[in-house]
Amino acid sequence: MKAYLNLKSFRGESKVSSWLYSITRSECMNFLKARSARSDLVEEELLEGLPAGDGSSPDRLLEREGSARIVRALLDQALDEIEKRVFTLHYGDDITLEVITRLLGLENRSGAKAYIVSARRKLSRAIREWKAREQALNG
Amino acid sequence: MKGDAIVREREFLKAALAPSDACATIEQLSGLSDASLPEPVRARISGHVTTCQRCQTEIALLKKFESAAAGPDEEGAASWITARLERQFEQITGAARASSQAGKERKPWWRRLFSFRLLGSRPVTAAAFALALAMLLIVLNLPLRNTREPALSPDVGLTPPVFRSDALAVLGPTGDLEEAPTELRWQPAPDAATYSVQLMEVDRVELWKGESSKSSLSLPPAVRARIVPGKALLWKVEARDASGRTIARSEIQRFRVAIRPPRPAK
Repeated sequence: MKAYLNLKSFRGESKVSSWLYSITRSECMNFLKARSARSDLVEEELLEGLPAGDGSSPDRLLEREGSARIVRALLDQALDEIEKRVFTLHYGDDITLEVITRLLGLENRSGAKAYIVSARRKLSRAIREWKAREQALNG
Repeated sequence: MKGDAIVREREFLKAALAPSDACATIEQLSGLSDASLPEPVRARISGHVTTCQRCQTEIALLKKFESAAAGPDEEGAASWITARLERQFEQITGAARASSQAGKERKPWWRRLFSFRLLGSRPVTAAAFALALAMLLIVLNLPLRNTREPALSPDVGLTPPVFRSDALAVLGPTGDLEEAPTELRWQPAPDAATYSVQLMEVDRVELWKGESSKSSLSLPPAVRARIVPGKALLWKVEARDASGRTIARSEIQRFRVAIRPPRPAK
């Protein structure tokens, strides 16, 4: 319906499929943001020791940005491709695990939950190892 | 508190995984796979994508979207959507294309629609539309059980003729708000028996409508829950007399709940 209503805005500068994908994606995200997606996983704290505060002062902001870079690098190194996608969609876009399972067509028994659990475990281990290396270097 | 730490961690991960300025647009990601991007841009985007989970995830979803096939439950609805899109395409692209095709063998509607190339684009298949629908259904969690045509909202398209005797003055909400409004208010119109209120997305698609005999109408909790910070919404009200005739109508109002800055750390 959105594509139908916005067809006149299609300028032919991109492929029809990517234009349609943009509209669909945006609609899905708007809907999901209106619905809380944070209640489907009981969690333990994952980033112990990394500053994950709100960046309310310049020092904290720098710490936070540094931590974000470290976490992105560790995610890239430690997770496999499906784990990265599940992690990004769940934590980056607030998409529920049930929706991710269907969106990515995951056919294992517990779907995206299995991938998020294993991704968290790997990230947690990677953070611990990174901290140990940092402590050894500094200390 | 452990709960607070988990919430902060969630917010941190969300920010860490949010798209950066270096992230590619969907058109660029799409161009990466079919070699339609100019070389300097292509090199920059390729370099970024190899280390960016966000862009890698987007490419995976886009590829899945482009290569999907319609399920049996989705074919009817996909056909309905594509038929209407085709009609719109023809209106936009005009008579030139129609006349150039005159005399040629008439192809099936779906082939005519998707064989239409635009500035280097390659044709897509009906599957893209089917997957667009499937994605929406997945997100909305609404299994499609029948293929009846969805009804078009009566306000989509041309506005029906209304003989207005006066404009209806609106009291609120309008503009930027601190929090989601609980009700919609306007000035009473003489001789009005009922008021019909419509809440819409910014593209005028109806989100909710209600009726009232007073000059205000409360928003149900389910509707308030859909008023999220940063998202603009529109609304309008019409006054009707006892016979149901529209006697006054407001201008379309726009409002948005402001996005709050993050709370300082404890």
